[in-house]
Amino acid sequence: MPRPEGYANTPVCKENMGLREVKTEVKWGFVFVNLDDGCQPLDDYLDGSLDIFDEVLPNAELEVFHYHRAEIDANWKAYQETIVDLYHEFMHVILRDTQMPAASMDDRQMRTYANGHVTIAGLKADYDKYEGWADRDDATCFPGLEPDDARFAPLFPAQTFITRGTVMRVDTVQPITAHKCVIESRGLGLKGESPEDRMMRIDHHNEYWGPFGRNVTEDAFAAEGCEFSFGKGAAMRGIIARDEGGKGQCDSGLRGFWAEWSRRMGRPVSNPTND
Amino acid sequence: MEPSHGPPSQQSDQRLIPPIVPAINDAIRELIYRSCCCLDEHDFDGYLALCAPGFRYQTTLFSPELRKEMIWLNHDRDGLKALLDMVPRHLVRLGALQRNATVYTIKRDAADGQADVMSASSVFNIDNEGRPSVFAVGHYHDTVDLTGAQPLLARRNARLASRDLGIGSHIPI
Repeated sequence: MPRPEGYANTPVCKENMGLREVKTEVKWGFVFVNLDDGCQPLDDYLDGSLDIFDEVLPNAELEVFHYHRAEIDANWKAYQETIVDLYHEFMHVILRDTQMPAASMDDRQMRTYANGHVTIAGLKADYDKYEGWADRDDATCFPGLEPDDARFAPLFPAQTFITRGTVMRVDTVQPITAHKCVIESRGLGLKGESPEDRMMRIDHHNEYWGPFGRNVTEDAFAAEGCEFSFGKGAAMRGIIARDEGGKGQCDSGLRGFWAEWSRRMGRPVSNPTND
Repeated sequence: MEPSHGPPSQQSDQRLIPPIVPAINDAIRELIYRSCCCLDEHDFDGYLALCAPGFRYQTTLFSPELRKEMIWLNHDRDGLKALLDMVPRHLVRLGALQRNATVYTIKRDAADGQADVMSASSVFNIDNEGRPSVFAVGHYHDTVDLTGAQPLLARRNARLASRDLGIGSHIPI
């Protein structure tokens, strides 16, 4: 502030004009920012929901090789619901072919945590069951993972950490309006690898999760479709009643998500507009 | 006698100027435009027929956020065929993509039997209500194989200038 004496007769002072400080914490190299000065410590907020990556992320030096910021015509919850809802696997041919038959539904572990977080582990994938794809049995993996592993942690409200054995993705969804949101997707590999291994992770990422991939394009399409249906009144109710004790395609994660939304909004899920 | 068209100066020039565009350049342009039409019409066999056996397809762009180059799609001919073969089984976006290309430059190398071709490319999405929107903007950087009876795509780098593809696409641009 040049010549601050010019403000001597005003409340303006240099000490109060800097950039606002925000709460930040670093966990495994990820920087978490919270604009709420009264927020609880990160680990308390997470309530252990990232523990499924305990053997993965502390031992991995990561490189972000992919960034896609996409605006879609859907409320942010329509996209996040798709992530949390395992029943939506049926929508994706790639999951019907590679993931659903690869392991017993009883091996799946869906857990809910305080603050609306969810984890899903115990998923497997046989990639060569998708026509034209090879298996990934010999691929070098993230620490603590096998090539066919899949696990993910949708954090409330709208951030998701996802690993398949060879690659990782982190999504953050931001509401723009009631009918638009921005999805930021980052693809992560391991830093300092050979060009061949780096390219392998990029290809594996893109096959599933890239903008020309087989999976996330359908998730985003589904979110827009849900938005359209909700907006036109064609789908007035969602049925979130499936209970498989955290296995299979249990709806417990969705119930946890909506319970937290209800708590924060002060509105029952069954009457979200408080009419 | 039919009246001549255009200003008198042009009429005389048209008679004197020999063809300056070799036929091979016309064939190269047609190759680029056909590649767009085939993908627009989901004629994937037709598209692959335009690709040389050693074809490599990539979609690339620069991320200012990461300050690095990104590859969003990377396939050889077999990989691309597998990808396109599976499209009918997928839940794909509604409407249709229309690829508009304009060939800007053709640099032929007679010794290598190939040409480097750069084309502007815009891809529009026409939704089911007929509303258009821009899906992607960029350039094709193609290498064209000229050693056979007809030009074939040996390499395509669909280089994106735009970076927000919305919900994406199962079909390359």
